[in-house]
Amino acid sequence: MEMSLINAGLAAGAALAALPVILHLFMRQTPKHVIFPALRLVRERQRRSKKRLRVKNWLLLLARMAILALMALALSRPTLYSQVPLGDQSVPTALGLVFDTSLSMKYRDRDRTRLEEARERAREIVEKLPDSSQVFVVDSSEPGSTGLSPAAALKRIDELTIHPVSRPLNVAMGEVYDKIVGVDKPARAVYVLTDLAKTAWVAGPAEGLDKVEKLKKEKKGRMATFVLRLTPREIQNLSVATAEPSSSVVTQGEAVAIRSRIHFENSSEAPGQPPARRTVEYFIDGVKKGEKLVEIPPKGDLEVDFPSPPNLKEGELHRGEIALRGAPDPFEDDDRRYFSFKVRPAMKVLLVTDRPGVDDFFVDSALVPDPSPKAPQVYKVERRKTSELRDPGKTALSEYACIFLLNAASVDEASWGALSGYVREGGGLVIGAGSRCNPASYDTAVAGQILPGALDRIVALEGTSETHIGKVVDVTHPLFASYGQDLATELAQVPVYRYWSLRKQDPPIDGARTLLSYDDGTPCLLERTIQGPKAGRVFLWTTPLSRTAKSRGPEAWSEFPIKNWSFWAMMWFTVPYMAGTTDDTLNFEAGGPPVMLHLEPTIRYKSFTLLGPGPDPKPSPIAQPPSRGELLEIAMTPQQQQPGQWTVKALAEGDRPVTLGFSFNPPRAESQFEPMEKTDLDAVFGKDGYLFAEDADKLKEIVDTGRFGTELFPFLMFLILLVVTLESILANTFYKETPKAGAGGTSPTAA
Amino acid sequence: MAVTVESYLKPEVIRQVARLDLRAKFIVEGFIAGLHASPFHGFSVEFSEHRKYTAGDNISDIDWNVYAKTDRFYIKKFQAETNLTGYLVMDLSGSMGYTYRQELTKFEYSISLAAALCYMMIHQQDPVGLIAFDRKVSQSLAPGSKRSQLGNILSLLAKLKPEGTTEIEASLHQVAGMLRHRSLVMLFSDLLGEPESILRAIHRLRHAGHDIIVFHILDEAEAQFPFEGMVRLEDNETHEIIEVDADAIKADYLEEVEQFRAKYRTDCVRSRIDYVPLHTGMPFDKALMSYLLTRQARA
Repeated sequence: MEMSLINAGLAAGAALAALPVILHLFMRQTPKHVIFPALRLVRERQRRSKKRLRVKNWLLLLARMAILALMALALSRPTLYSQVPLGDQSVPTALGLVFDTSLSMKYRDRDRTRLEEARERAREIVEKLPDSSQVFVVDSSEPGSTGLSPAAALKRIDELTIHPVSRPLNVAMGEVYDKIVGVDKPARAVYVLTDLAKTAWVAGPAEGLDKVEKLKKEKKGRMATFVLRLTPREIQNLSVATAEPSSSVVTQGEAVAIRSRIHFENSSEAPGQPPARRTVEYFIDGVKKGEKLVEIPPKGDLEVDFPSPPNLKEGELHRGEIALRGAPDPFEDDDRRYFSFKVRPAMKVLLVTDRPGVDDFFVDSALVPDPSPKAPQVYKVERRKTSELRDPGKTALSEYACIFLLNAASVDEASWGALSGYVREGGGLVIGAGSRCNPASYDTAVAGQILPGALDRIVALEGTSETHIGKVVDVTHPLFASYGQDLATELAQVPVYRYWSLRKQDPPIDGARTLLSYDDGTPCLLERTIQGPKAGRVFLWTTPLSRTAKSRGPEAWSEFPIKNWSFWAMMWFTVPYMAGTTDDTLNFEAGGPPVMLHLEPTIRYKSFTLLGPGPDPKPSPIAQPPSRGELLEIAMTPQQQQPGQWTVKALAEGDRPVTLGFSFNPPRAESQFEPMEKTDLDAVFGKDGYLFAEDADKLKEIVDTGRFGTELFPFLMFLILLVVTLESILANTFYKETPKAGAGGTSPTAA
Repeated sequence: MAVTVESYLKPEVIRQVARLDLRAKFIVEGFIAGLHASPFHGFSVEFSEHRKYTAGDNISDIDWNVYAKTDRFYIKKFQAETNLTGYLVMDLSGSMGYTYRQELTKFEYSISLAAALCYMMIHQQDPVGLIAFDRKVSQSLAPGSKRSQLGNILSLLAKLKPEGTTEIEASLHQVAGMLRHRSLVMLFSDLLGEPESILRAIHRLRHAGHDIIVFHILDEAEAQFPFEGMVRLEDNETHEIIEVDADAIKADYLEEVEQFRAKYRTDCVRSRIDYVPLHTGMPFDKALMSYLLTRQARA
């Protein structure tokens, strides 16, 4: 806080406060001489009340001095500033206008978007500036602003548009402060025009505040920051918060649910707010496939799921959207959400074992629950004996999405070589170690290149004792992500009687990690990732993925396949994970992670062309196509990140056209209108670093305050009134009259 | 405007009467005129009582004036039956000669009041004497009830001059030693001494069986403190000087006066002593009424 005096000369009048003292010292009246026999009464009282009288005298003197000093101060018209005053509006000013152009500024109130409101406020500010002023119009979405004349600034303001992706306003403040501080003008002001949604800011102070502080310290000019809130008092907005398929890549016949969540933002605190009734529509490939009439509670969410239509065409990209219909919405951009997914043919899985039908029975049952020919198959399972692993007459290993090697006694070096090659090409190998496994056969040089551990010895728990698959080391692993803690709970109940212990590795095997362990911490499931053109993965189960009929016989290892649904889930999710399709996403958010599309490793692409959403998109080529097997990264500027269905037209070798695509949605944060509180703004600008206006009227008031400060005259007059009253009370108490009756005497007392 | 007899009860009126005997007469007449319009209507201070003559009564006691008017014999009730020997005890300290307004000093007020009381008592056939003291008893007149006694007392009162310092306690002890019979002691003083010692002396008188009326007489200025601004106050006995802001100290001073009087009042009430606080601006009837009430109680 700083203070200045409009009539500084009059402040010297405060010296008049000394007047009562001077009068007391130099103009003391000559005391009147009076004979007074009752002097002893005066003396007695004076002795007792001397201290009190002295305090009263001082108080009275101080009150009278304060009245004179305050009157002089009031006449000098002091004004108080939280920031440096800007002076009259005719003063040439370096003006910074920071526009929040994030998507939430499209919210309509009284038939105007927040940006239109911001434009009007900004025009009012700019039109009052003298022509010699310089204006910097900073767009929160687009860096780069130059000093403009007021007339040019008005034109620039009209050109501002909303973008789906925006910089945090903290960063935009850094840009404007940098520009403003560098301009030599008598006054500097920055206006932030925003809906004040918390999501438009990041935690921490605004950038460039150090420059403002330096400017203030050096007293090189005046500077003020005004924050104008443009959000209506009450927000009522319905949005499709999420809409995604359960997986971006689904197998033909696989049941896919499109999960959506509808959110009703309602800032009204009035009780008894009614729920919102809307129709949720579901489209696939431009055709409406379903709709539901729903009621969403105020400030609440509603899950709405739609099943994907069966028998969608294989090998093609399918586009869908979830949309809200039923009533006008002040913010329409979040009323629909787009999604994409691919349908592929059933994935081929190879089960390799010495005893087909025995060691592979449960895995086969899990992957093909309904073997009838007409039943849709997600996985196409084939069986092969261990000895036939390299049989050239059979299908090449690379054709399989995943290979299970179950309780194989011995695998020769050549077979390990074939499996190693398969994994290095991006294949997925699952090994279920059981009683037949010869540890030496799993400890060869070639096997060691891909296995996450070396089998050491069988640990057989004695009698009725048992252990469990006790601990999921990483619940967020894609293998467990779908069921998370529920799956961990189920696994913890699976009894295990025997398992393979692993030989300690020093140094640890590169790329290997434990995913599941037994109660005693011994690894149960290990994973090793082999880097290559496409990442290959190897799982090693230290207990077999099968069981015998006798629970406690020498062949009995665990109850994993039959204890609960955990075995089924683990096998079911293993295949797509090993095939590398679980991290293949086609749904992105503006401002989120970059768009990365998985390319078919078997195809060599020549070129890619990007087509944005809309009926007549403008194609733009993607430079530097990736080499074979890599991800295709699509770089998009914030301005390009328009919500909708995007298409990538690729040209493969032989000029064969391939269509890729993805969906782009507005950031979910843009639907969250929770405003910045005062403490949040304090954290951004500093406690006294800004002036806040909730509406246009308040803006005018704070601008005037910013220009001229807060006049203290009324407060001082009130203070003078208080002190005068105090002086009056003190003086009256001091010189109070005793009633005549009391002074005169009393009636005679009859004894 | 005609001067009524009641107006002589006011100090500012009575001070225009120079002769003390006339002052006494006017005050008492004014007082009695006032009484006629009061609950004391019919109360006579002229005669105590008459009763019918009965055989054996002294013929010299027959009131021949009444016989002349009524043709019946009435005799005056024996004065001895209601006789009350009164002593007017006057304080002659210098402070008693003080007056701020230069109208009526405390002493002049005292002797006017004493004269009026003397006048009443003589007319009621009550013997009355006079004692005056400063540092000790300086003047005294033995009690008497004859008409000539009034003249003697008034003459002596007129001659008294308040000056110098006083020793109230010692003087009252001396007075106590002088009084042989139970009497009514009427003390006229400003009591500007040490209250404890003065009260001790008064108590001694009381313990000797005397009825006491203390007329505590202050100057109007001492009672009301009418000063303003800075004043230099001087004690006319000790010549001590104190400089005070009169406006600032007024409330405190009046409170002190009230406490000073309250001290005497409380102590007197406890000892069944009449305490009459007065100042020179107050009418005389209050003091006279106090005397009458005491006499009535005694009779």
